[in-house]
Amino acid sequence: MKTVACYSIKGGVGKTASAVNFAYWSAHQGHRTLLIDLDAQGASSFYFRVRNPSKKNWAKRFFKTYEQLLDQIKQSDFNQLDILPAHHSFRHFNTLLAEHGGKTNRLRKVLKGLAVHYDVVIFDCPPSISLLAENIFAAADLISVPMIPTTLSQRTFGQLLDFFDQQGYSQDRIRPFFTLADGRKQLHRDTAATLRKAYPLFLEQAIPHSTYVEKMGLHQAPIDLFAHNSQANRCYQALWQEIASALNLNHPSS
Amino acid sequence: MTTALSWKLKKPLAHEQISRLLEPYTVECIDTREMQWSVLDDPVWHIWQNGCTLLYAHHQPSLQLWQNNALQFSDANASPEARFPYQLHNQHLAERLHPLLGVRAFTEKHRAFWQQTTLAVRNDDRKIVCRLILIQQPQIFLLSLHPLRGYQQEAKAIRRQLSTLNMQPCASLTMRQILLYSGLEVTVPPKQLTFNLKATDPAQQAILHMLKHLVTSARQQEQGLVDDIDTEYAHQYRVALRKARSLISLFKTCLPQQPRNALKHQFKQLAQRSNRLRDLDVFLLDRNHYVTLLPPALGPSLDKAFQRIQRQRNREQKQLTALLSSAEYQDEVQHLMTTLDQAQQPLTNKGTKAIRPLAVKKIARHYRQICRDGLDIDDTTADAVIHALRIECKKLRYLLELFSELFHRNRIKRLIKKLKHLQDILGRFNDLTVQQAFLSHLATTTRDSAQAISLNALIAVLYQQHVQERRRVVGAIAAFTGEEGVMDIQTLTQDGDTL
Repeated sequence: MKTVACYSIKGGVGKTASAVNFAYWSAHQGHRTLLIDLDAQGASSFYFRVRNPSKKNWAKRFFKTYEQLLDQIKQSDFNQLDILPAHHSFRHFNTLLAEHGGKTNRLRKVLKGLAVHYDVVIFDCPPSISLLAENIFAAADLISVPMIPTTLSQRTFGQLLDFFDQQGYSQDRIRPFFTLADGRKQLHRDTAATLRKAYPLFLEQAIPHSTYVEKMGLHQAPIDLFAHNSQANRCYQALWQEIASALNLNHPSS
Repeated sequence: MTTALSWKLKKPLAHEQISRLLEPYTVECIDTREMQWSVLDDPVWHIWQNGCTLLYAHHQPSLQLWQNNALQFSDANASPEARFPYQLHNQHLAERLHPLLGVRAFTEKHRAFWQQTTLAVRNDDRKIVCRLILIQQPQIFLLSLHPLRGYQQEAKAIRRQLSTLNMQPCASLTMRQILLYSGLEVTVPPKQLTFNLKATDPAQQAILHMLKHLVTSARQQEQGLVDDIDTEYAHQYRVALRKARSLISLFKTCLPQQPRNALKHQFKQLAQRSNRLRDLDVFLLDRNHYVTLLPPALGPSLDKAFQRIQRQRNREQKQLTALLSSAEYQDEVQHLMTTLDQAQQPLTNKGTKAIRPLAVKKIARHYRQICRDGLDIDDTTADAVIHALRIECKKLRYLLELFSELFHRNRIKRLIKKLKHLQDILGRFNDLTVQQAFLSHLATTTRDSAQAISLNALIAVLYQQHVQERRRVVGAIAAFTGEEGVMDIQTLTQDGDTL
């Protein structure tokens, strides 16, 4: 089982849109895929029309056993794709993790049991550097980091790398990529060039600024369903392919 | 995916009807298609018996292999006329089918038609909570409910609403089940021909009864032979006739002399006509193996030799087809059946005795013969002597198989298995002798010097294999005729031993 985190310290950079489209293309390729919505806002759950669980304080049980997770999983409208929807109690994750000794391996442990059910697990992560984020870093095989090619994003990315250094985490699993990229803007072009040079593990494919990404909320669906021929859709498909290659994800045999 | 629920309907159900019934859920038709399937298998249903279903989807041209109700392999480039794994483009599919089929061809066993409609049932958020699949066949209407994971409550509610319809629950609608509802009948022939013998049946009556069945069994292969579906039809045709000839020979004293001699002659005539075809088939079946025995440089000329053999084979096939389709052949078979009827009288002395004790005596005698002959065989024994032992083993094998229903099932099975092992080795040894002779004839009758070189090179390789195989023969005989083999025969042939 491979795990991919869609993570960023900043909000509004396209994490959820990316997580949703990655999950869609992963399932489309034939991998049994689970999208875990860790953000209490529940945006990726919304995109797949999956309601939040009704269980009170579900977050408390989240890290107990993987069977608890299995109970809450919902099948999406797409073959091979399931969703573990967010819950408003997820806003207490950091507190809950701190109460349990502040360990950073709780998430990885609870996910182990899912390996028999899924080939790919994708996290839609809340924007923060926190104990939850550290659990995500420990659990993920690949940390995809969407960023808008601006100076502020450059700074934030630097903060993330520093954090990894300080905590002794390997940066090899980090795969940044550009979103909301506007090739007409000199700033975007220059920032992108600088970052690619400084950090060779940047994914090749960038996601352009696109109205279709915004319209995902209107359609409540991955882009492929309502804008199959759009550039944004093709870019997400290609981006997922890069991630799949980085993870050595083989096409399921047929 | 959670378990589906399925029903048979008394009449077709329209989308609008379901929509009204399932309010407040909305029901959307997301797919509807006409499907036409051919179920493919060999005469013994090997693919089906191994839990797989091979289908040609005419509506979406592709050859598909299903297992555990899931599509495992698909070959969109496969021709609907494909009959053997080697004809397929999808190598994975070919590799999966080959061990199931061996040398047998798959042909159409059944054709099924139905209209399949998939309905999505959505909640207020327009989230699909379950799918309904409607299957409409000419006479049967089926409905299955496929809940989505995490939506069990909704599935229960929908099921309750559907239960107001006049429906009968039925088995889960797997691909296999739907095919069975469409009228597919899977009739697996028994592995062994049985004759419904009783231990006390008079021998003459029993033998003639068995001979008639063997003729019927041979005749069942004729159409497949004429249509040239695969080489196994000729083989099974000949096996049935060989068993008949062996039966007459082994129990000759149970039959009156004149009809017995006539039967011998008639069966021999029938069998002889397919000798050449079978020899050529056996050779061609090993074609790929022979190619691997020689250096690649000799491949092209060897290929030419095989093409020559193939042309000979085609001519033989044509001749045999013409014969089997002829009025003369029908008369011949009718005459044989008349002779079998005439052989009921006069009653012979031996023929009035019970069949089982006679069979026991024969089995014991032939086993002893094998032991005696086997003792003298070593690395220097002439091929003809080993060939005679092979014939003796065949007689014993036929006895065990023909009369298996009169003995303890597991004991006879074990004995046949051990004998088969010895026969396989003797068979390979004999094949190598025959192949060298055949290739030698080809090499001396070709004007193509390159072909002659390839054929002679192949003969040399086969000769070396022949020498090695001879050593294995000695070991195999010792294993079969040793103490354990003796015990097996004694246990099998004990008086009063029954199934």
